[in-house]
Amino acid sequence: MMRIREADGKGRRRFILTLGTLMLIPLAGIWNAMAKRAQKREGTVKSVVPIEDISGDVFYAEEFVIIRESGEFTVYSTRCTHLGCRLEPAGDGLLRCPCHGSEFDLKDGNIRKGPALNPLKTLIFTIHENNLIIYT
Amino acid sequence: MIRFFDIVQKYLNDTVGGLALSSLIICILSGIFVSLPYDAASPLNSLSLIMIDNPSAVYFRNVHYWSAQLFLALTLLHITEHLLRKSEKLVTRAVWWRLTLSVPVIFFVMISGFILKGDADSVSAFRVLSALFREIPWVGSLLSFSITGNEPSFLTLFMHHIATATIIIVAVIAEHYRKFWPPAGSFFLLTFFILIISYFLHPFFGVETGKGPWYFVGLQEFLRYFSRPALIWVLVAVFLAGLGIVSATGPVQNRRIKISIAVFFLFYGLLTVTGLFFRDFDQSLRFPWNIHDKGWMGVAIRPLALSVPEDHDFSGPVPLVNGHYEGCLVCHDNVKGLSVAHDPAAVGCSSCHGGNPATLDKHLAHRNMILVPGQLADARRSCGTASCHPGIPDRIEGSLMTTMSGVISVNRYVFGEAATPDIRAHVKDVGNSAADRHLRDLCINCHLGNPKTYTGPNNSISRGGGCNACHLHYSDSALVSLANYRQSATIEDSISFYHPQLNLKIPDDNCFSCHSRSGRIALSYAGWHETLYNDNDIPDTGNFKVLDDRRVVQFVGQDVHHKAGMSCIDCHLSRELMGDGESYLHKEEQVKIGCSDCHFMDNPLTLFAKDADPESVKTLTLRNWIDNSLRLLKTATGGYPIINSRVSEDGGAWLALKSGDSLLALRSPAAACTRGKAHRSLSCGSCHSSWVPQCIGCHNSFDPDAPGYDMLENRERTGSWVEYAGLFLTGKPALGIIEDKRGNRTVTTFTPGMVISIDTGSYDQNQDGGRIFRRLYAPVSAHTTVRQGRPCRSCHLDPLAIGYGRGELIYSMDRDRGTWDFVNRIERSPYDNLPEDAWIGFLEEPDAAVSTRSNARPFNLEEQKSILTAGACLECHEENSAVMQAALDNFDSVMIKVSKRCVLPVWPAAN
Repeated sequence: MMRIREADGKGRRRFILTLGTLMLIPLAGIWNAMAKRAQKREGTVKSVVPIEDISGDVFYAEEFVIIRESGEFTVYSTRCTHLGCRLEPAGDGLLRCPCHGSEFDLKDGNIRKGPALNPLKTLIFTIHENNLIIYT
Repeated sequence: MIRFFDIVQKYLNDTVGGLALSSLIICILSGIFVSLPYDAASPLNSLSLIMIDNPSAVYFRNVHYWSAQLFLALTLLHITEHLLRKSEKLVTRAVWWRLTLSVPVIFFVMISGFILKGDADSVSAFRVLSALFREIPWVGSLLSFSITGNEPSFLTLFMHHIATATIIIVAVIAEHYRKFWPPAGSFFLLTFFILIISYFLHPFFGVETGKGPWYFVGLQEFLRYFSRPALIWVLVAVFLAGLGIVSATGPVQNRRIKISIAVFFLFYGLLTVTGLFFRDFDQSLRFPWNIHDKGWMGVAIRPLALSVPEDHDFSGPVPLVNGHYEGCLVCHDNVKGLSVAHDPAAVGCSSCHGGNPATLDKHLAHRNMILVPGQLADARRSCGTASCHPGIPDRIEGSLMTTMSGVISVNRYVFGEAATPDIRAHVKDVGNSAADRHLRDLCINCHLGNPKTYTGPNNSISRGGGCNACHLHYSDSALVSLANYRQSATIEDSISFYHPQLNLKIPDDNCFSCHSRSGRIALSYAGWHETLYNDNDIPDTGNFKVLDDRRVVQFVGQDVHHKAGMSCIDCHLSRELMGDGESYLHKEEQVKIGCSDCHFMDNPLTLFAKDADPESVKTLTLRNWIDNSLRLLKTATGGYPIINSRVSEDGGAWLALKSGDSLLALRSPAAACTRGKAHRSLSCGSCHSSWVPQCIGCHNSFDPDAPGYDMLENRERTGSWVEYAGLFLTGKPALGIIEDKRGNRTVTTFTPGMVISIDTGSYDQNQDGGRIFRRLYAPVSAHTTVRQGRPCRSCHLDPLAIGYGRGELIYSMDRDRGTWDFVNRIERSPYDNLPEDAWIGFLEEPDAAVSTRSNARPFNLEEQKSILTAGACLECHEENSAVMQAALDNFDSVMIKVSKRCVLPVWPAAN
């Protein structure tokens, strides 16, 4: 009898553990759906910059930098493409990452020094009533 | 090391693990108090307010911080103890695995605490952590959202910090320790220790260092070399797997795994040391004593004031600047005198001066403060930040006023250390060769990178100072404030005063200190010529004055523009002075303005102000000059707007003085200036420069015993180059040729640049007895413009103008043959037998370079003959005669029709 009870105990334990593990799968799916929905609600951030405020060929904001060349605008994200730190002006037309030292050229957004592998992300913008509307 | 753990156990009656638990308990308890005033939705501001306004909360924060650091350190020591004692076998495998997996949870709770302070370093750490989670395949985005959440709120992270991670750690420790409360003795001892150090040691807040917390600096260094950050998780997994299975392995495997873990920690430790002690803010590697920004240590040592000082007690709101609390303005609430653009209410104090705005403790607030911001060394962190004047430090660093490229390269050329005077050079690369030492001893401090180390206005002895060199301005009130402070230095004088301004009104005095040297153009412009008199030996006659540096100057004649009230910046543009992003070899390349830009003939180059570049528009706005209908002149070189010009619809033009309200009418050149072909290649200065300073006969030798001062490193030392002056003369400038890259030649003004002997043997023992003699003339913009151009005779009959030196040109006519002769006035040099003030020999061409520019030269033989032929005509014909006027139009055609009565010069046969 004792042996049968021990065998039953181990079997019950194994069953509960297996059932519990299997229950994690749908829970993970619900968790994932919840996270995706919450992230979707957060949406895209819009920033508005009056063009008259852009004095010079380069205009720095917290999350982006606006380059003006021959009257045309280009907007780059100031997040390092390595691990997202905020880039800072470093002289010689470069942006430098204070975290790991990547450098990017403001002329074309390309990398001048790693460890980043990808160039600066170009941000979408529109011009409306003398304002630059940037989507980050 | 086991002995250390034994000692701890013996004297504290507890293990290192027990001490770690004590630290954790203190951390949790203090965290409750810290979290009360904390706002996770606005972490930086809520913590700033705590730091500024609530010293008691600061104490709890310190307790929380130090107990957390001790918890981590003691936990790592405890793990080490376990592995050394092989006591991993004393717990079940399941418990050991839970302990292993709690290690990343402990690091998570630590890094989340670092992030929750919300300053710039925290935001960077947040982004790195989020990005690292996102690197995990398939579930990365979900993990990042669930664990760190999204900016700008740190609420998710806060919740995990105070609840999720803490609960997990407590549960795992309780299971492992089999009880929760540590021994009372060691607990209270550790509490006492933490309470004491929290009173004196303050972890930094709000100061950007570019570094993560000490336990992740090694990882930060590691990530510099890893373009695929996802591999970090592989390393973490391997480490945890190794630590986890160590309890289940045999002795050999056990030993191998532990050695691997030790090697890993050793490697990580080396990376940590590198990142903490050898990595500067600009990412470069330097020895610790050369690290520019000493704020990396992250800790200030100072007793904490637990109550707000009476004189700082305030009940009003803490000033907000750009959405952040600025504690500086609580004490410095009565600073006056700054312009609207630099009003403390708009930009605060710390944006320029650094320091720590998140405290009211004077010493903590002033730590690492920049007394005189705007130096080139810190311009990017003060004036040139992204929010203020980005891009301008870049331009200035390429400007000749920073690099001194021309000065350095010409000096090296003169000393024979460079083959041409056109080498690109920079003041930071100046070494200790004979030429470079010469610069260090005599003149190299005239660069913008030279630091201004004292408060006070610029004067004629000031050198450098970065942005302050031009833009610093002390009003009368600011001077009084400064004098009061220097005299009494009371608290009131230091926190309630008139601050000097940084503005666009740049007086000539700011240019004077450096530009009254070398070519002396600042002196010449105002009409002064430097003499060799001592200040106690000035002649009674003549108009003399003594400068601040005791040089004695004599009035000769001022530039007509100076007489009209124009200052240096009324002509010279910001693109010239601050640079345009390009790097130039010599000053004439960097200068954009030209006489004809303002003194135009028919059709000036213009543009509407509203179409100008944004910087010019901004400057016009600041000066209240902007107008939709405003039309400006622009330069022929580069097309830069001359922002103080005005052009009317009928073509009239004026110049508004930047220092006042005057409006000057701009005149077109006289007809004589542009008529005909004869003088087409002459620059305006050739005729309109009234005089230049001319220094000749200088000798330089090195005295190893003379007291010296290294002007680059700003320190005294023994040994110096000594320059023995020859003659300082004034006179009309010599003329010569500059050829551009397309072969166009311009006749322009020159002055002796280097007529000099150098005793090189006195510096370099290998050149014993060595001596250099150089006779080089330099192109000069004399800045002594006069309205009336020089008469014909002053060039065609003046040996100084042609380059022969002072003396007399004698034209002898013998029937139909004329011959020119020259009698020098100043004695001949023993080195080359030319007059000391000559550029070339009479009717000779030099056989070597004789200019400080590769593209400049004196008149060649044909040109000399042409000039002297016209001079011969002037022997008989008046300047205003029909013949001479016709010669202005076309000299060659006049020569074809020359009368038989004319006696033209005959030239000696060529040797």
